[in-house]
Amino acid sequence: MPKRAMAVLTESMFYVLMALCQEPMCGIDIAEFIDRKTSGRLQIGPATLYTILGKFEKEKYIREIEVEGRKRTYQITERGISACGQELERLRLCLADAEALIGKEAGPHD
Amino acid sequence: MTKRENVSAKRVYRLPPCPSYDVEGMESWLTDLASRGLFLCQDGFFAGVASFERGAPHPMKYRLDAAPESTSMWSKNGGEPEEEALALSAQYGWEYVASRGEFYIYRSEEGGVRELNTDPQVQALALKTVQKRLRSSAVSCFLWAVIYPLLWLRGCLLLTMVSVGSPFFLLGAALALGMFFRSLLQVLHLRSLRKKLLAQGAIDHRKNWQKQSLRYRAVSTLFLSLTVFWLVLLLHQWSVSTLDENNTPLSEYAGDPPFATMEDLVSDPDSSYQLSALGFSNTMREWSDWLAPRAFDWNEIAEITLSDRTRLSGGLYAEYYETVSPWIARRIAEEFLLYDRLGKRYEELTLPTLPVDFAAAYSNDLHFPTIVLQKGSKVLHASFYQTSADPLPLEEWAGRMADSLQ
Repeated sequence: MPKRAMAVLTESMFYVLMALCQEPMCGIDIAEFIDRKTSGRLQIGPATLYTILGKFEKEKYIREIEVEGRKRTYQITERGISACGQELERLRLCLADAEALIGKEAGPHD
Repeated sequence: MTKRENVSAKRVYRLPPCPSYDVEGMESWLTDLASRGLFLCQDGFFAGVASFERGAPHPMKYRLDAAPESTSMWSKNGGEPEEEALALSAQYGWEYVASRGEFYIYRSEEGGVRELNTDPQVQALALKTVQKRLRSSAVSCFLWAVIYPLLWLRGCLLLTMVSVGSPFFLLGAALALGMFFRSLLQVLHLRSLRKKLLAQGAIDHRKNWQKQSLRYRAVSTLFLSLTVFWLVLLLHQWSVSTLDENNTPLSEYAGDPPFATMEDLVSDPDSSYQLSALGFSNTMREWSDWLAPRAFDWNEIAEITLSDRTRLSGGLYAEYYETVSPWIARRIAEEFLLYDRLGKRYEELTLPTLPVDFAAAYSNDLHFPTIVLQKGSKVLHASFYQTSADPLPLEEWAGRMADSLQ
C-alpha cells in the first residue's frame, strides 16, 4: 500500500466514486448501484462502504448535501471527480501495458 | 422465528479473554460462546465484564468494526454507529450488538451473509483511524500520568515518596506506567493487525483466543484491583489530611524531637516559652516510611521571653527525615533545594561552615530564611521567620540546628 492512503484507489473506492459521478446518493443507494453495475461480482460490505464514505468526506472527495432521517446523501466534489479521472487514466495505462505485453497470450481462448 | 428468540432472560457474565483491540480474539471468543449457547446481550459490556443470554447453541458469526469516531457517549452520535450504516448492515443480515473499546460488535446467524469488511485495504484504513486515536490517548496518558506529575513535583521523587508514603507513591507510579504501556500495546497491536491485513488480505476470524486468556484475565484483574486499592488509599490519605487526623498539637506532644526547635535556639535557662494561640499552627506529625523510618513535620509559632526581658518570637516550620542511607538523605536534601530553587523569589543566603555533610540557605517564596542540612542519614529542612525587634542571626540559629543533628 502506498504511503499516502488515497494515492491509489482500491476497486471498492473507485466504484463508490463512480456511483457518485452519476448522481448524489446515500450509502444504501451506492451499495445497490455497485451490486447492479457489477452484477454482484463486487460485493461491498457495509463497514467497507461507510469507512470509504468517511475517508472520502475527510479528503473532500465528496460532501454531505442532505440528511433526511437516517439517510445521508453525498455528492461528489471537483476534487473527487479529479481523483476519479486520475484513477481511470492510471487503469487505462495499466490496461494498455497489459494488452501490449501479455494481451495475446492471456486473452480469452476459443 | 429466528433461533435467537429461544434465549432465556437469565444473564451470564464473563470476563473477556482478550483486550478490545484484539479483533481476531474477540470475534473468535464470541463465536465460540454462541456455539455453547451464550449470546452477547445488547450493550453487553459494562466495566470490562460481558453479559450473555442463554439459548440453544447454534452457529453465530461475530465481527468487530473499527469505529470511525470515538465510542465515548460524548462523541458524535453518542458513540453509536450511524443509523444508515445500521440499516445497511441489517439489510445484509448483520445485527449491531454492542461496542467495546473503539470497536462496534455485529453478529449474524445467517451462513452465507456478505462480510462487513470486504476490502482489506479499506479495513486497514479504518484500523489506522482507531490506531491514531489510541496513539493520541497514549500520548495524553504519558503526559498526564508521567510528565505532568513529574513537572508538578519539580522532579523531586524521593522527597514526594517520603512525604506521601513510599508504598502509595510506588504503587501509583507503577499504575501510571502500566496505563501508559497498556495504551502503547494497543497501538502496536493494531499496527501489526494492519500489516497482517495488507500482507495476507484477511484477518483470522477463528483465532485461538484461549492461548493468552489466562494471562490477560489475571493481569486485568490484578490491574483493576490495584487501581481500586490505590484509589481507596488516595481517598483515605485525602480525608486524613483534610481532617488533620495525623497531626498532634504541640501542647500535647511529650516527646523530644531529634532536631532543635525554637526553645533550643536560645541558651538562656531562665527564659519563658509560650506557644502562640493561633489555631492553624503548633502541630507536629511523626511517621515512618520505608525510606525514612523516622520522619517529622513540625509547625511551631511561639514567643520566648529571655531573662533580660528581650523576646524571640516567630515561627519554625521543619521537616526532618532519618533515612535508611546517607545517599538517600543527600538526594532528599538536594531535592529540597531544587524544589525551592524552582519556586518564585528564591534568593541564596550565606552560611558559615557548619559541622554537617551538606548545607544550603536561602529565602523562599514567602521570604522566610530557610536552611537545608544533611548529616549522615539525617536531613533537615527548616524555615524560621522572626517577628521580634532583635532577631536571631541566621548563622546562629542555623548553627544550633546543625549541632542538633549530631
